[in-house]
Amino acid sequence: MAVCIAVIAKENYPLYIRSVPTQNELKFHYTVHTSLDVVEEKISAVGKSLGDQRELYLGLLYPTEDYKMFRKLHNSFTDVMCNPFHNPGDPIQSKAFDGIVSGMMVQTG
Amino acid sequence: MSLSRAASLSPQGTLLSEVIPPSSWQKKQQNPPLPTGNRSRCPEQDVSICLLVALLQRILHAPAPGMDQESGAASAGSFISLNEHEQRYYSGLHSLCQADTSGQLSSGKVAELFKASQLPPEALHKVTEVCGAKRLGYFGTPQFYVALKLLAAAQSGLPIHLESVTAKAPCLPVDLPLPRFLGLKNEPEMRYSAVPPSIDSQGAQGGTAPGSLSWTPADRSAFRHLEANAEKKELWSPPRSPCGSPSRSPLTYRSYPYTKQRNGADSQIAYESKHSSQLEQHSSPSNYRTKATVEHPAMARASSSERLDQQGVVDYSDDDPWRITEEQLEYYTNQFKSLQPDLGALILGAIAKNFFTKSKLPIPELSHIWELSDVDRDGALTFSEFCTAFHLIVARKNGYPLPESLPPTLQPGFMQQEEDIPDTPEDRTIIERLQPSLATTKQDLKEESCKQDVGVKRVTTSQEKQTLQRAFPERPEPPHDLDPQMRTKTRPRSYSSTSFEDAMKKAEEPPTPPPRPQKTHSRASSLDLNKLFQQGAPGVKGGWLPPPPALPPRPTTSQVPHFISVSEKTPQNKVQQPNFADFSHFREEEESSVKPEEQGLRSRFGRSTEDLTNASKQDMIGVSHSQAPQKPVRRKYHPESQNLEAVPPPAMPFAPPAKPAQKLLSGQKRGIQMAIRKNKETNAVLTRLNSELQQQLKVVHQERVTLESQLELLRPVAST
Repeated sequence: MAVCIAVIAKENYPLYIRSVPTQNELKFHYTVHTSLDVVEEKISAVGKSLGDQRELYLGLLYPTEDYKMFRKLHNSFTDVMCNPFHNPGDPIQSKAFDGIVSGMMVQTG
Repeated sequence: MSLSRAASLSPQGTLLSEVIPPSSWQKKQQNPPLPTGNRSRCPEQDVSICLLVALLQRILHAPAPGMDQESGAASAGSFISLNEHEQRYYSGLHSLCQADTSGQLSSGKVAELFKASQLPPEALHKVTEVCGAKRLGYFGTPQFYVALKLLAAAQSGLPIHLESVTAKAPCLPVDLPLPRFLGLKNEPEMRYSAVPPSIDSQGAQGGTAPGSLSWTPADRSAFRHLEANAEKKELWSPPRSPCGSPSRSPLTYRSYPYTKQRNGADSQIAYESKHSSQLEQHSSPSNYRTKATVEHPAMARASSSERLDQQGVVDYSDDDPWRITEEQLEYYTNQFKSLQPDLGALILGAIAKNFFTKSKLPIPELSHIWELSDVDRDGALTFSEFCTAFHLIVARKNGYPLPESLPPTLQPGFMQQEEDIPDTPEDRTIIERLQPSLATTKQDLKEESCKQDVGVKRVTTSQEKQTLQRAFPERPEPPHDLDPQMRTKTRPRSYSSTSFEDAMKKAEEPPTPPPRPQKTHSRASSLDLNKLFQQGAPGVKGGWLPPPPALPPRPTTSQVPHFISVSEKTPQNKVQQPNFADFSHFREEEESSVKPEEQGLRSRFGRSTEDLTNASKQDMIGVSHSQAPQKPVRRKYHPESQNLEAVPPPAMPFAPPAKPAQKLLSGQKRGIQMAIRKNKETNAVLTRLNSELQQQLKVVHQERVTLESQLELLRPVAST
């Protein structure tokens, strides 16, 4: 379903990025990067009004049918974060996370 | 009479003390049958001797068909050796099973006997198969004997295989305890074997035999410790002595003849087999010695010795490294309590992290273990999760690779099943087991209630997990997470999130612009010096006066204001320069010859830079003088022209130990830092100015070109 999945940290560097290897990956990486602009837009719009009760979950940037996928990803991401042995800011090395992500990726040859 | 008795005893003695391989039974048959008519006079002994005689007769008159078949029996060419006790015992059991004249034992009785051995049915089937009875379809005497020996081996935890029981195999501990059967009705031999005669020396040999092939010497040392404890135990509780020690008799290399015998006597209490199996399991996966665990298993055994219950759940024939044995469970319980006294409560992630980091496993592996064991994903460990994690760590330390997913025996459901089955005695035994380890009734109650809570928690975790995860992305403090359990779970989450934020903040600091370190870095002054020296024209160098070495090595605070005054000059210079520049601009327009103006500009600029560099150099000189207290010697002896080289090296070893001028030094450092900052600012301003002037220059140049062209155009007109 997904061709490329990336988890970007707060400092705009990727904690985790994986795409289907057959395609040209760089394009995807660029797309991911540009999507950060959209995120920033949303954050700046929202952040002023709410103060510290910020909505961290901004929802989907574009309405797609993949909301289930995002939720699954987010759940597995929180599981990774819950792990006390995981330093935030480290690239994500969890096998369970990998497994879930590969399950979500395109299953083509 | 007594003589005759003695005489009658001696042939028996000789008979029994010999190793009786089945093939040699025929020989025995040739021996004159024992005097059956010998009724001895003393009652008990007479009875016992009678029985013995009867037994021997049975043995000796074991029917020929049994003998013939024994060649085809599963002994496969190798034969079992039975010591005298085993011989006695087996023959007794043999008689129990009511061999009929053909020599076949009644299968019903045999089955009953096997069941009484408390082995799992698979093991029993295997025993049947191995001993050859399956093939034959019935139990002949040799098969029966082999089967009994295999039962003994199985109960001691050895694999059910012929080699375990044959004498030839090196791994055979000869002093296998007698197989134990529960609830046998006629056990006259028990009473007889209860008399503890001296054990043959084979016991000692058997112990040293590497029957414990899979056990490391560390285990032996552990067992030594355990033996030591067992010895103590023996002292205070003879009736309880079958508790820890005899189970280890096949495993240890010190023979405890009395305890062994008593073990054989107390065959009704079959838990020693459990012990030995647990020992084996305990040895293979859990060689975890880093935390004085030797005492813990000993303690565990001491407490478990009080358990006189029926055999436990442990399927030791599995030898599954992923199964937690009771001792391990108790050890984990103790560890859990050291971290969190309430067994039903959670251990927070950070605490668990510190604890497990002590195991010195690499962090990614610990992370993986955490993922495996924190099943409800709450960032904290319940008791069972903790046990799972601990067990995985222990297994990993012993070299087992980490599984990708939780093995079934470690899943929390497994533990729960053990607890929740109310009907089986196992549940009671588990609770009872934990009782002595907890050692208070209050704790027992707590624990049982905790177990229930844990069970309840587990049931509800899946639901809660979903709600939690739904709540978490939305982030507003949860309206629907009102359960106290949820609160405990959100607490760890919020804890982790705050730490996350803190970590993020810390991570943010490094990406901030690099100039920051330079401000604090006092060595940067040397770098700046270098840059300045390079920037400066060669003339600058020449014009740079060496500072008088007469200057006091410790710059007083007067020098600091000197710096400041110097640095103040530079802004003045800056201010002057724009005017200067404009002035030159005007002058240039007047004269219309730009080149000398450019040169003038340049020279002025150079002069200004000279001034600046001089000023800054004075700063640096002052700096270098301020460095004097650290290396006054060098300052005096090195001429300032060599200061280039001199400054970096003294800047490098910049830590003057035990100099009384350190306070002054710090003040000077601050002054220097201020000066540096100011210089940098001036540098920046100057460069900006430079660029502006360059642009102006270009503009002016353009104008000049146009003017000249116009002039030329006009000149011919004017001339003509």
